[in-house]
Amino acid sequence: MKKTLLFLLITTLAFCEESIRLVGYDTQQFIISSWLSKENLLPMKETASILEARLDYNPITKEGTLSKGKSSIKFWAERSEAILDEKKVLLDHSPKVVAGRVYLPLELVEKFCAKSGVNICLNPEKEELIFTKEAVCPIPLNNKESKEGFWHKVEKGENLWRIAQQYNLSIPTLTSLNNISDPTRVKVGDKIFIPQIGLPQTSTIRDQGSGIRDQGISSNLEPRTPNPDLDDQISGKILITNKDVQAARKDTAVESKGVQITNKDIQGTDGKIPATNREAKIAKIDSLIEKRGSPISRFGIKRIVIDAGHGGKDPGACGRTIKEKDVVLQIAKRLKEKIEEESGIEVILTRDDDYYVPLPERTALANYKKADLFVSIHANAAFSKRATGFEVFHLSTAASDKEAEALAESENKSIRFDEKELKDYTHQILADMAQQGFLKESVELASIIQKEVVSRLDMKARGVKSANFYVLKDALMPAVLVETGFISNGYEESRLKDKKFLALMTDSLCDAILKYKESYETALKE
Amino acid sequence: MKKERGAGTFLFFLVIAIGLAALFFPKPEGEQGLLFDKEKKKVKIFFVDKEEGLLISEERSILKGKKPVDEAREIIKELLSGPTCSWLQSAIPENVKLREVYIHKQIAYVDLSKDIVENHPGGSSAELCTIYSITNSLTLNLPELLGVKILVEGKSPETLAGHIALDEPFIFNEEMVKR
Repeated sequence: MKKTLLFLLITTLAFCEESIRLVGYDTQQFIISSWLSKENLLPMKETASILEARLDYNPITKEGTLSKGKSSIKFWAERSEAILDEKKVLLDHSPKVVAGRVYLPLELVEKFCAKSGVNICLNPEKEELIFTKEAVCPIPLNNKESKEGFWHKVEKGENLWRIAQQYNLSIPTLTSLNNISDPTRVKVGDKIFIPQIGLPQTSTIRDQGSGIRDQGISSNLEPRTPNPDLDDQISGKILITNKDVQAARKDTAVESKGVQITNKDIQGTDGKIPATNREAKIAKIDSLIEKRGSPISRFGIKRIVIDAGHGGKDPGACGRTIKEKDVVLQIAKRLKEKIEEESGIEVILTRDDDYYVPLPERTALANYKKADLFVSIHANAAFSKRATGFEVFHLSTAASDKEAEALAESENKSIRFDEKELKDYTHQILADMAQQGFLKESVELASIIQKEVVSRLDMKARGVKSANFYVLKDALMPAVLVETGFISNGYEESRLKDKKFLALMTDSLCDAILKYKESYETALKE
Repeated sequence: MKKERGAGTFLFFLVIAIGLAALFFPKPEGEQGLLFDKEKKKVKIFFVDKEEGLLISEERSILKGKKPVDEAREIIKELLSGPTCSWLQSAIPENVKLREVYIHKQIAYVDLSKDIVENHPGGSSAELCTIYSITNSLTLNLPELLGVKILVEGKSPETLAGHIALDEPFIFNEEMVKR
């Protein structure tokens, strides 16, 4: 059964280009981007929060534990084994760390869910992955073709076996169609979908990996010891709200001792702040960069990630008639076409339609794909309606001693503030420092873009600037953020609506990127 | 009858006496008196200029606080009240309330109400203006401060409107100030 679900999920995911949603109990959902779903990876913290499971993760030992009630699963990043309730299990795919964020393979989550009484259902039509405590999924169909049928409400004295007999169906057919993880937990009032008997649609389902499913079912049918903890919880589907995700990000962040060690580790042996001396950090980053490999130095620029800012629920800045998310998507898509047309560079978009991609996942994608450049496209807005111009940002230099000192003070900040974020913080310092390593390249790319666009589009040059942009922080490659004009200014808004202007903008951006590639690669040869 | 009139006059004078006493005798030391000296202090706080969207300072006088944190609170209140010059505008969206300011180890933690996220117009420039009008105003006038960290409803959100990371404290930024 589990394997069938996995199979179905993989096949479905292979078809859906869009992002997939992890659905909680609220109207709010957590959306993971398409690249994650294609790789069958789920973000660790969000998954733990959806499952209402306790999560401990130590970034140093890369050892993590998910626990809920009496069951727990222990896993290691990049290791294809896990310990589920003290029994070793082998995994086909191992948990992965991308830019400081940990992603769990679906099979690991499924194994844990099966033990902790959570049912995972797939709604292929809506591309949703639903986590529920109900034995029966809220969405009865996991196959689009078998829509024909009717609903059977479970009456007193009935069980799945009886129902199956009544309609001359096998229990596996019913469990598979209704996403029932545990037939013994079907209770009075549940609605069960009964397919039209003899229709070819149902047989397709039966064909898929029947042997494995039957095995799964037989073990599921073994009498279960009642679990009061669990039964209490079976009040509804588990749903996750955005708030929960936020809370979980913080709560799960620090509890294990590993954090402390890390922090000291990074601060050097005397435990003092690395205001000027950052060797310890840099050594770490070097190993980080080395691990990732530096495709630039070896192969030149082969792959670029272009990030269209905002999207979905986040419109970005809004003008009188247009929204930032729509303008930047147009530019990003044209830019991809243009670059691929004019060079052999592969271009990957962080989103190719109007949906929301969380900020950390944008950079994580670039790191995961080992992109050689990261270019984020935005449209600007200011409080003043008269502000106009084109600017390109790179990550702040953070070079001044004062800034380093301020940073260090906040690193040592009291328990009262953000102590919970410390764990994330270590990663962040590493990644920040990594981006520092690409500062020279980032500044050069930014300058070329600024020059090219301003000269060809007759825009006011606001220059190359630095700021602590979230989306640039964790990038392990030269990364810039382009502000294509002020949507808050009437004139520039009308230009951003103009197709000719957008075409010229993409052409200039494309040329600038290719110029950078050329200058970089010639520098390499010399 | 006479007695009643006497009582009435007495009450009348009593009220006058209390009124006069309130006027002439110093007020008992209230919260204001405990937190601030009577002296005033001139401060420069930053607003956005309507031309280019960069920061320009405006002079204000605030009560000299006994502790830096009290002055910090006053500065933020002045920022929230908006500029007096017609060519300037506030870099903080409407209805934003100051929840609290803390100073810990030379970092000021400015905790603002969620309106700063909900009412923010978005855009990198606007976000930078909001962040640095607060940061520059505090760090310029309170030299004991190293940096400023912005909190929203007591928590540290990822960003205000999707651009600048709020996880680290900010220091005085010259690039944002109009020359």
